[in-house]
Amino acid sequence: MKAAQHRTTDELWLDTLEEVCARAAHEVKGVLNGVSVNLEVVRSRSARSNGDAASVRSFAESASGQFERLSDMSEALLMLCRSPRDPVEITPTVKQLVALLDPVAKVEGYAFDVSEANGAGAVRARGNVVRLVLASAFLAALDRKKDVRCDVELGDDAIVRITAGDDTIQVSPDVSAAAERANIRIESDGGCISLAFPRAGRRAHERA
Amino acid sequence: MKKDAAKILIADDEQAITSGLSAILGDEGYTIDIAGDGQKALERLSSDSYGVVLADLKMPKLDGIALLRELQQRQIPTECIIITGAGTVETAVDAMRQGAYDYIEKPLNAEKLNRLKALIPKALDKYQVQQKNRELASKLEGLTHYGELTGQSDSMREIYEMIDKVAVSTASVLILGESGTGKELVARAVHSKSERAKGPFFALNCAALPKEILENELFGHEKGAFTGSVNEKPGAFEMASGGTIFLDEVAEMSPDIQVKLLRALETRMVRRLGGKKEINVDIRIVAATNRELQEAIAEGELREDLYYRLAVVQIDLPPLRERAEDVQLLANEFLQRYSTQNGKRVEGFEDAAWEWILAYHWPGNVRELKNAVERAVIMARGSKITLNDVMPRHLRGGGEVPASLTINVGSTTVADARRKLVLQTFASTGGDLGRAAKLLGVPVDDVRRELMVMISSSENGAGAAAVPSSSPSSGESDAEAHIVRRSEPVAAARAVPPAAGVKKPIKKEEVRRK
Repeated sequence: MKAAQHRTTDELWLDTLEEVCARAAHEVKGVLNGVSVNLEVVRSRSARSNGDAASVRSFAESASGQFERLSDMSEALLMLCRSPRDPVEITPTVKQLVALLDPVAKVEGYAFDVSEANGAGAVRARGNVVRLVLASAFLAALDRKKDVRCDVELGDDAIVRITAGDDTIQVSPDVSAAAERANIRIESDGGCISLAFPRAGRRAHERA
Repeated sequence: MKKDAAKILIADDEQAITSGLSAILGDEGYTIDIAGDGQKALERLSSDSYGVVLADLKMPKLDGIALLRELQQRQIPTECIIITGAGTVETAVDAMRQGAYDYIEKPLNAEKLNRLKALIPKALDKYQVQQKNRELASKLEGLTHYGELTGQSDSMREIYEMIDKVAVSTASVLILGESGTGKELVARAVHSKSERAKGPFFALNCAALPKEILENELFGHEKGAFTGSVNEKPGAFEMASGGTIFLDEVAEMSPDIQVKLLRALETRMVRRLGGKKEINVDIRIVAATNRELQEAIAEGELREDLYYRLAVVQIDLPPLRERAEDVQLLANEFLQRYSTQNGKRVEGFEDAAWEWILAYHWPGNVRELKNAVERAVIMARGSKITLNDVMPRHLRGGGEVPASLTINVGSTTVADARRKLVLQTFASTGGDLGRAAKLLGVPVDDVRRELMVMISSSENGAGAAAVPSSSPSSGESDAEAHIVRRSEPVAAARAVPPAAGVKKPIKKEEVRRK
């Protein structure tokens, strides 16, 4: 029974990851475009007999900056595609998803603002459930077509609050069911969705 | 287009791309502006002129396709090249359908950037050509004169536009039109607007000259070519080399000369009469005729191959009766011209004279109108031209103006045709409602109703027609109905603003008071 539930959750996560990747892939092309265009300036200007280093420096730096963005995105993608090591840390997972979805928000004209909590935030749920719930909430927030704010708080639970405008952010019933099975509480209040993940290494009475 | 004159707008939200592209195209000599999203791009394009806009397909606020749509809707002139990351056929087709000049897929590597560099000059050329056309169209809008031609009707503006287009080419031009429509003026305009304007313009009337003389005039002769030819004489082809020859009434040319003309057109070489030497000529032929050319070809009077040589571009000049809105403009112009020439202070036309001028069908076209006004100015005793001054004696007889009416099939409704017929008949009777009704075979009220409808519609313009009111009670006799007479004239309706010295047409309210 539990194995079947896990399979269902993993399948849901793979579907969600596919959507995240599809949205991010377009932005990968955009970043590559930035690299390519700036390198072309460097190439053509350096080829001139009177080409001076100063006139190409900013373009080389810009290309380098684009490489870093690309690196962040591919790193995030690699991490999310790997099997998670339990217990999973909440903040790095949030960061990985934001690294992929922030360019998507930007191209639509919206900002992605993340406020992280200090300290380790390992949670007790399975890694793929945590990723599924977070990614689904982020995608739902992106669909609101508003600036997205994400606050991570570490208390008895690891709480992730995602806000985007005033419209209700909701995840699908399948995702809600998977979250419930993993003791992850989801609350929607106006334009804010709160995800409460039970912390790892804390007993129930401590949390109480 | 010179690169330094060309402005390009880059619409992209990625600063790394806008700065890179800006540097690449700036190095190519273009002036670059940047817009960070589609909305800003639209604002810049609305307030400034850009030959080309490079727009990212995915942008905040307004994406590339939406931007294209806005450009089309707002008729903002520019050529848009879409830069797309979504390399699907559907996206490309959609972009092209929305009016994109072309599209390029990301990432812009060296090869694609080279393609972009090659695309931009072509897009700028297209923009420049279209810009010229737009400037021309806006120049022609509201134009009343073109060269020596006068007219503000749509048909004349089309002629002006056509002359502008054809003048820059080297194509032969055939001008068709009734006698007196201004075919030679069109030919002169084609010449003066062309690159040959500094060269000579030779006009020959093929119908006015006997065959031998015409041949001699066209091709010239060598000394001793015929009895009495004591000197050599170059022909029009030689003398007009580098310019234009206008051959009027070309269909009247004899078959022998047609063959020679055809050869000259094909080879660009002529041989004088009695000469052996072929002489190169650089000539443009503008021909004209008032004949029905298909008929002339069928009857063997005009060679079909010559017709096709001459009619590379054909300009059809409308008769004056089909551009009634030009009649007032022309009449006023002739009035001013001949008043000055004759040293007379004639300020305008009396209403009855206007009525006749506007209603008459002018079979001799502009030339007849010009002659009529010249005669009227000479005959005028007062400061205004009367009906008797302007109307030729042979038309004065019964007081009715012989008139014909041209109805354009396909663009005229039955109601319009009826209205035109009523107006023309009414005018031809000198404003006699009863007689007009009798001639039309309809009740007087029907005539009045039609005229009132016409007044209402023409009051949106500048002119209005005066229509006599009727007594609502009794059935009116012809005498009662004949309210508007020569002494109480009618100002016929025309949507043409009255020129200086022309009395304002009577408004509907004034008519009702009458």
